[in-house]
Amino acid sequence: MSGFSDLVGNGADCGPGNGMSGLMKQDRFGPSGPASSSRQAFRQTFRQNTAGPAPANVMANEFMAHQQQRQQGPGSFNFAEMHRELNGVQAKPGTPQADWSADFARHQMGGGSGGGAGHAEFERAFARPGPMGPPVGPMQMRPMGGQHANWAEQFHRPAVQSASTPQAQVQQQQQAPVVRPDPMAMAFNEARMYSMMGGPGMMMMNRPPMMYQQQHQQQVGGTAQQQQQEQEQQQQDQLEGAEAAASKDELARTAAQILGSVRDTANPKFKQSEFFSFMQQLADGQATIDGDQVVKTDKGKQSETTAQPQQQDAASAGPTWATEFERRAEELVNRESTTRTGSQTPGDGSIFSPEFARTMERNWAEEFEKTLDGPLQESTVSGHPQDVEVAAEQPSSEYIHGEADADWLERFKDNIQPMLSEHDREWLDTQKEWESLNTLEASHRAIDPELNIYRFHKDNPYEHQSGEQLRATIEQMQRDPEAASLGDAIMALETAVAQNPQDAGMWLRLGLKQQENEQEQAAIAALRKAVSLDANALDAHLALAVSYTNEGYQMDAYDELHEWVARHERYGTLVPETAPSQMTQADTRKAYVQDLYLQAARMAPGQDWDPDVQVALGVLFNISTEYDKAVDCFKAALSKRPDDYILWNRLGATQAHIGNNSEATQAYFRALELHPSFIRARYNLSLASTNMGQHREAAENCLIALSLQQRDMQKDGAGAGGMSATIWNALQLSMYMMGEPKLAEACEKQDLNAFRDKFEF
Amino acid sequence: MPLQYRTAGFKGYAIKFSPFTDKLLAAATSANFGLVGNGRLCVLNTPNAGSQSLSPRQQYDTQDALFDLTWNETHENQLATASGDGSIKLWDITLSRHPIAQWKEHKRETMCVEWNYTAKTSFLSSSWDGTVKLWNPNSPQSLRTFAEHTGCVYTSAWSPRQPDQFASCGEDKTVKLWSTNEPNGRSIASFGGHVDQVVSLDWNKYSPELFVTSSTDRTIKVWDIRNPRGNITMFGPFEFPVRRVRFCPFSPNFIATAGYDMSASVWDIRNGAVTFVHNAHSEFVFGVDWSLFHPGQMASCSWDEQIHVFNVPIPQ
Repeated sequence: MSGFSDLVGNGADCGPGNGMSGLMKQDRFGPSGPASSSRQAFRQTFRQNTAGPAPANVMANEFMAHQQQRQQGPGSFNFAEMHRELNGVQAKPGTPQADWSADFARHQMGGGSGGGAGHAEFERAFARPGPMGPPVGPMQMRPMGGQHANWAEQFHRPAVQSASTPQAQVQQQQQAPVVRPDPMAMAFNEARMYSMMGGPGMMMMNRPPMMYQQQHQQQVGGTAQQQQQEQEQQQQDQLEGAEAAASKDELARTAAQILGSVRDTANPKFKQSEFFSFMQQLADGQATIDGDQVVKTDKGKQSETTAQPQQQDAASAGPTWATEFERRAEELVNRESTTRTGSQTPGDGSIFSPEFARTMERNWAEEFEKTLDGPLQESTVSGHPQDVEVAAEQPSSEYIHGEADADWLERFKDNIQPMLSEHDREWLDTQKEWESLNTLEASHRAIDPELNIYRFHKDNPYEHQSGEQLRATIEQMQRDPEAASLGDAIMALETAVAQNPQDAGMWLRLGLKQQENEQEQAAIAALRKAVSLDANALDAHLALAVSYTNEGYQMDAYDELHEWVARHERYGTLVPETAPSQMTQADTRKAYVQDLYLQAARMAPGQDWDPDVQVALGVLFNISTEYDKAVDCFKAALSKRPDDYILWNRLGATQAHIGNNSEATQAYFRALELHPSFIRARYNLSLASTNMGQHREAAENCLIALSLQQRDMQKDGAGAGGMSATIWNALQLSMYMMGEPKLAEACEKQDLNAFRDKFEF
Repeated sequence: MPLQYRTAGFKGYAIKFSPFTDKLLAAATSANFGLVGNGRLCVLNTPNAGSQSLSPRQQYDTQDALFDLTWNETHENQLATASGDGSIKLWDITLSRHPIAQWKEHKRETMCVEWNYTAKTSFLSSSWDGTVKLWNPNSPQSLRTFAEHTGCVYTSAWSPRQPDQFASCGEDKTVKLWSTNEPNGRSIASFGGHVDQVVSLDWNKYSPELFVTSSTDRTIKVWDIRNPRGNITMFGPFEFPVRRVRFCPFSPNFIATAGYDMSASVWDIRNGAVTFVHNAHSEFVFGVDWSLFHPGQMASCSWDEQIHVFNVPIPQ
C-alpha cells in the first residue's frame, strides 16, 4: 500500500516522481463520497426539490432551473439557498465571507455551549426524540439569537411551515428524509451563510412577478410533485420578501452568534478584541455593511459619543462588547419581532411566539452575565491550547440551561455509579492511565481484529491432493518460482495449512507468498499464526516487521524487530530481561531498536556477518526514511544472498525512493532474471522507466505484467489479480505521455488486444 | 520583544518570507477583517537588510480583500496574491503600481496560492468555488482544474519531494492528494478523519511522506501519505481552532501554528509539547512563516494590524 511496501515487501511504489503509483491502489473517493456534513445533505435535498426534473415541463420551473444553471455555471456548487438568504444584502458580488464565522460557530458547538438557552428549548419545542431522530411534529417557531436551526429547516421543507395546501404537506412529509441533519450543525452552517455578505448573484429578485401567478394557476391541476415544487417556490417568494427586509438582521444575528460562541473563553485578549467590538456593533445595529463598506448607522453614531469613553476605559471597566451583550440581545428580540410581524405574510407571524423567543434570549443573556461574574473576569488563564483542560472542566452551559438534560445526566451518573463494580472501576482507572500514556503515541497500532483472520480461497484445486503429494508440489514450487503462478503457490500452501494447521513453517511460507502477492493483511494473519505456533520463528518475526512497515504500523514493526533480536540465540544476550523505558516510549523506540541491531552487526564481524541483520537494518532505515543507508544494508545482504529476487526488488525500490532510477532499474532487472514472471518487479521497472521519461519501455513492461496476469487468471481463474487496476492506471498514464489518447481509452476498458498492433509483449 | 510593523487599517491574513533573500518579507492584508472592502499587499524590508527595524518597501492596494500570497520561485521580484473577488494577481515589486498579470477564473473567493517550489514553474490556487487550479504565469488560462472537493477549498500545498504532487483540504473535511500527471483530474488519495472543515495544511520538509493539518474541529493532525486509513498523530482538541500550520524548514520535528487563540506557537510534533508561544498579538493571528535563511526566525501577521518578526529557539 505504501511506498515502502513495495520495497520491503515486494515492490516499490512511490519512488520519486512516480508518486501516484503507490497511491493508485487505494480507493478513490469520488465527489459522491459519504455525505457526512449536514450542509451537503442540505444541498442535496435542495437540488432534489427545486432543480429536479419536473414531470411536466412547467414553464416556471424550467425558467428557474435555467436561471440557476446559468447563474451558477456548470460544475459549481448549488449555493442557491445562500443566494436567497443574501437577496436583501446590498453588497457587491464577490465580497468575501470570512471563514472565522464558521470556525467560531464550530467552536461554539464543540465547546458544548451550543446556543445556550436555545438548544434545550428547541429540542423540546420540536418534540424530537433525539437530535438525529425523525421529526415528530412540524416546527412552528422561528429561532432567535444564537439559534438558526429552524431557518434551515424552513428552506429545507417549506411545506411544513406554510400549511396552505394540506395535500402537499402530506406529500412533503412522506418524502422527507428519515435522517434529519443535526440541528446544531445546521445552525452552524446558517452562521456561515449570513456572514457571507453578498455572494454571487441575486437572480431571484429579478424574477418576473407573473411567474408567481402562473404557479398558482398550475397548482390547481398539478400533480402532488408539482404542487410540492410550487409550494417551495411560493415559499421562496415569501422568504425573499422577508429576507430582503431581514437580511441585515441576519448579519446582526450572525455577529451575535459569533459573540455568543466565545463568551465562555477565559482568554483575556478576547475581552479587548477590536474584532469582537466590531461584531458587537454589527450585532446591535450600530454598524452594518453597505456595498463594500462598513457604515455606522444613526444609532451607532449616537451611541458613539457615549460609548467612546467607556471603550477607552476598557481595561478597568471590563469587557466592552461583552457588557453590551445583554442589552443587545434584548433589542434584537424586539426588533426581530416587529420585523417579522410587519413584513411577512399573514399567518407567518404566528410562526414564532415573541414571548417564547424573549424568554429564550433572556436566559441566554443571563447566562452570559453569569459567565462574566465567574471565570471570565477572575481567571487569568490564557487561552492557549495547552490550557484547555482548565476550561473544559467547567460545567458546560448546556447543562446549566437544559435542565432536563442536566437532570438526566445527574440521574444517569447516580444510577450507574453503584453498578460499577470495584473491578470495573479499577479497569476504568487503568484505561484512563493507559490513554493518558498513549495520547501522544506518534503512530497507530495494528489492533484491527481482521488482522487475526486468515481467509482461505474457495474452490482450491489442490484441495484433494494428499499430504505427500502436496508436500512434493510445494517443494517443487519453492525450488522453481517459474513453475507455478503466485496464485497456485498460495492455494497449495493454503491447502497445506488447512490440512495441518499446527505447521508454523507452512504458515510462514504462506505469509511470505502473500507478501509477494501484495496482500499484506493476509500476510499478517498468516505470519501471526506462525508466530503464535512457534514464538521463536525468527523469519516470521522479521517478515511481520516488513508487513507492518508496509501497512504503516511502525510501532508494531519495531516490536517485531525487537522480538527478532530478543529471541535470536546469538543476539538475545543484547536485550535486557525487562524492556527498558526506551522501548515503551514512542520517540525513543526507534533509536533503541536500531542500536540493538547495530550492536548485533558488530558482534559478528569478518566473514561471519549475518545478512538477516542487514535486512532488518534496511527495514529500520526504511521506517525512518533514511533510504541511502537502507540501500547499503540491502546491498550488503545481497552480497551473501545473490539469488534472493525479493531482496533485489526491495533494493531497487529503495533506490527509486531516493531518485536513483537507473540503479533501481538494474536491481529490478536482476530480480527479473531470477524470476521472470515476478509481476511486482515488472511493474516497478515500468515506474522507473516512467521516471526517466522512457514511456515506451514503461508501457511495454506494464503490458508484459498485464499479460502475465491474464495468463494466470485464465489458467486457474484466481490468483494475483490484486494489482491489475494499478498497472492499468500506469499504462494509461504512459499512453497519454506518448500521445496515444485512443490507447489510453482502451485502458479504461482493460483491452489488452488493442495494444498488440503497436507493442510487442 | 518582536520587531513590529503596523499595517494601519488592514488586517493581516498571510505572511511569507522571500525564498531568494533574507531581506524581504510580504504580507497580504484586508480592510474590515476581510469581510468587505479593499486589500493591500505590503512588502517589507526585514531587519536583515541592515536597519534594526521593519521598513516598508512597497505596497499595493487592491479592490478586494487579499487572503494569501506566494513568491514566484523563478523570479525574485515577483509574487502572486489571492483575492476575495476570486482573482489572482501577479506583482513585480520593482514596479510601483499595477499588477503585471491577472487571472480571473475562480467563481468565488480565492483563499490560497502556492508556488511549486520543486518544479518552480507553476503555482496552485484554491478557492471557495471548490476547485484547485494549476497555473503557469506565462499562460493566460489555468492549465488544469481539480474539482473534487464538495465544498470550499482552503489550502493546497505542494509536496516537497514529488514535483507533480500536492495536497488540498477544505470544507468537506477531507484532505486530498493529487498529481498533476493524473490523466483524469481525479485525486489519487483522500484522507478522512477530521470531523470538521480542514483549514490548513503543510508538508514535512524532511519526511516528505508526512503532512500536518489543522481543522475547525480544533485539532491538529499529522498524516502519512502511505497510510490512508487515518492520521498518525493528533493534538487537541484545543479551545480554539488553528488557522495556519507550517512545518519548520530546519527540522523535521517542529511546526508553527497561528490561530484563533490570538497567538502563534511552535510545537514539537514528537510529543505535542509547545516549545514557544508568541503572545504579543491582540487579535486572531492568521499568518505565520519561517525564514528560510535564519533558523528560528519567524514572522506573523494578525488582525491587530501588526506584523511581527521574532526569533524562536529550535533545538535539534
